[in-house]
Amino acid sequence: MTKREWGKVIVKTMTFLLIGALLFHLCGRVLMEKSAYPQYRSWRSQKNVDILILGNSHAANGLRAVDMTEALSEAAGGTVDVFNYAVAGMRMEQMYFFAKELLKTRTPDLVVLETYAFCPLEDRHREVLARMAFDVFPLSANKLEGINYCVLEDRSSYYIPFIKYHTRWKELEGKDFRLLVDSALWPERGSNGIVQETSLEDPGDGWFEQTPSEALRAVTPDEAECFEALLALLAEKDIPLVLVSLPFKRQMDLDSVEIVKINNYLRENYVNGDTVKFLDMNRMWDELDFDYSDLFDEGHVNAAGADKVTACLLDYLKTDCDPALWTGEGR
Amino acid sequence: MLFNSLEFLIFFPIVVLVYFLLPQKGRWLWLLVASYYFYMSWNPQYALLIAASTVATWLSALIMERLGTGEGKKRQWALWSCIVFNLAILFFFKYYAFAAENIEALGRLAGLELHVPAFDVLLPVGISFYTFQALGYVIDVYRGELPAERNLLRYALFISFFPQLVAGPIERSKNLMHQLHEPHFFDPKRVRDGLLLMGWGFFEKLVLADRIALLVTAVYDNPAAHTGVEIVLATVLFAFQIYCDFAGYSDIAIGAARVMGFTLMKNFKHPYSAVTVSDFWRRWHISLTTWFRDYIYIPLGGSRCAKWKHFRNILITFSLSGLWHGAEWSFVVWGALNGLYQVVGSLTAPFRGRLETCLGLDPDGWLRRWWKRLVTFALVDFAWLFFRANSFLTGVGMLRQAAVNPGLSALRDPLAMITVENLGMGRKDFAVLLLALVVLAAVDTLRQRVDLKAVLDRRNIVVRYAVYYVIIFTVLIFGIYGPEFDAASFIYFQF
Repeated sequence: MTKREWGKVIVKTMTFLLIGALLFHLCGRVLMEKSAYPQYRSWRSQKNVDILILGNSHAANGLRAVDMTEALSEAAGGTVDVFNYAVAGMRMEQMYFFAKELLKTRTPDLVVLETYAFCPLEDRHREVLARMAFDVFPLSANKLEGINYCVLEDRSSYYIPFIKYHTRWKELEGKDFRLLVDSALWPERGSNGIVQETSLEDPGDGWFEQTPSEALRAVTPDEAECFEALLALLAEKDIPLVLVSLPFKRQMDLDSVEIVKINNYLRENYVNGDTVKFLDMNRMWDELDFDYSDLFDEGHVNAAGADKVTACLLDYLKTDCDPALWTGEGR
Repeated sequence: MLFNSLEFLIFFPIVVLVYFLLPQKGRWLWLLVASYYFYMSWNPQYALLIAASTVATWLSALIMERLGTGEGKKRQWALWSCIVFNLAILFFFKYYAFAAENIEALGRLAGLELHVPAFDVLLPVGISFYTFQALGYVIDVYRGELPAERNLLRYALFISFFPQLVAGPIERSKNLMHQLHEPHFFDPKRVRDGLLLMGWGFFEKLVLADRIALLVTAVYDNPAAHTGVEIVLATVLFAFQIYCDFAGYSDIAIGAARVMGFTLMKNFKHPYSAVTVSDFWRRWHISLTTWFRDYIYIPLGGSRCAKWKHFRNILITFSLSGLWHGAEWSFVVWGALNGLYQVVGSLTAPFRGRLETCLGLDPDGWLRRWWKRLVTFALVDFAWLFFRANSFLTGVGMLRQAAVNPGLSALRDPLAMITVENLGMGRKDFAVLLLALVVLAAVDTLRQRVDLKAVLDRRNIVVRYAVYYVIIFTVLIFGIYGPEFDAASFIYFQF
């Protein structure tokens, strides 16, 4: 073949591959399962994020990012943008890589991390949690590292989510297309807390009248490794961290008595009162006047509970924390 | 590694790229390395077996050639030693457990409690294929049809050539060996044709065969829970599953070889267009049936002998073919049934001819042709029931179940039986299945009349690209693969 012929072949092949890659990307986006997608698009559309909330369904249900934005902006006399990127079920193992992915594109002034993330991860939950944490992101070194860390076997469908989601052609609805382009469907500031007002009946067990334990319960080695990596990442970017523990009774096999012990361990080993602070609402049931009427189910607050815990966090940020912490002034 | 795996999609482009970047002299060596890597990805220990078979047949061929035609007895000894050695390996890995089981069963019938020692061995992938390919070579050398290959490594490539290693086509030395000596240049058109054929193969395998497998498995794994209508539906669809699975594999293999400049033999020729069972066997798994014809049937006497011997040769050949497919009586019954069809067909041919004449039927008319195709399909598909059933007795049980519980009332509302719980697939999947079968039939029919590649070549680049993208994305979107499904091996891998 002459050079000219080679050139033609190369150009045609590259064109074919590029168009194919674009079609593949578009098909992948359409077919992908989108429960975590609206938040991702909302995140990408944010011009600025001052406070990033991370966690799982506890934080997603309990912390109202829109209300916090309004309240803190008023207190600061300027705009303070809060984004709640809590993803249901996420544990510390996924949280580190997830946070690393988010911090590639935004540098908030403060990160708030809900500590139910330290609930030990059961293997049977690995798949869905890894998918919710990683599927929305494009392939990157961090994503590969996260998948290799969190997924124990058969990783191909995590590297290329299309392999998992191509079967969704049977379930496609108009919403799958609209979510890609209609920003009205993307939640303004991530999660804005639960709206359900139903509450649990008090079984009379005096759960929320218990004295908080002072015992320590160590986190697992994987959790410690990932948390320390997250702390290092935040330190590198000069981002302080506020750990927060939202009140609940029990979820999966972990109850709030145990999470208090985990919180005690975290406080003992990681909190320095400066770059790492802690607001443990599970030690504040009395103060919050928290009881079963504030719970939607045993693991999550209802609308009234969300109002209480959001207000509690706001108070903490406004009074116990230097405003510079969440306005970023002087940094 | 399976063709329908991410590993192969990474392996193949790398092999092809390095192949064309290397100088001509070193390319075949690279292919040998790649082929052994491909085979060892199943189990590294398998390489020892294929290497043993390779060395044994290579040596035997050289010895026979060196002995010359004057040393007839010694050449025969060399040939038969080689055949026995290779068949012994095949017997041990594939048939020992079956033989042991039957010896013990015979013993029990005779009132003896025999206990044949058992060995827990895995059947090496592709052993039936490469053993027959090696034996074909050594017999061809014995017959003087081609010279023995002097270079052991080049011969090893002939045996282990990865596109056709694990499920054929069973290549003939006269076709493939010389190609391993010839230079192969990069030709964009040939590469494109090869990739197009591979794409079609993936469509047959992933969109059709593996989709049909969902339904067939649901019925055949629990036949007692299904009606006659469902058993018939599954059996009819199995005919297409096995065709698409095997033809799909062959197309991927032939396409992959073509990308690199090699031409492998055609393995299927529109088998369900056959008008007789004999015609079917000239169109189905052509590499195996021609192997049995040339190395078993013709040496037995073929058709150039007394009629009873001719029929005997047919029955032996097809029973052995059945046994080749698997160490189960159901496979032997399947093979023997196909042989019986041909014997009966041959015996009744004069009567049927006279009947046609009496009825004034045009033997070449389209109605007659379609009727013959239908009857042939029905006969072949009936035999497929035993091929697919878990055992011969299960097959018989399914026939009984179909007779006892036909479930004809389901025909009033056929859609009602198509559910995931009942037939392993929902209506959307079934609709895709039907559409894909229509596409298959259309393409197969067109290919018999026109050169589809030439038709595509005459179209502009936009149309050509559109066709390629439709094939690729049909496979990607509608293919049965991913974590929700067990990666379905090609059916013929088990042989």
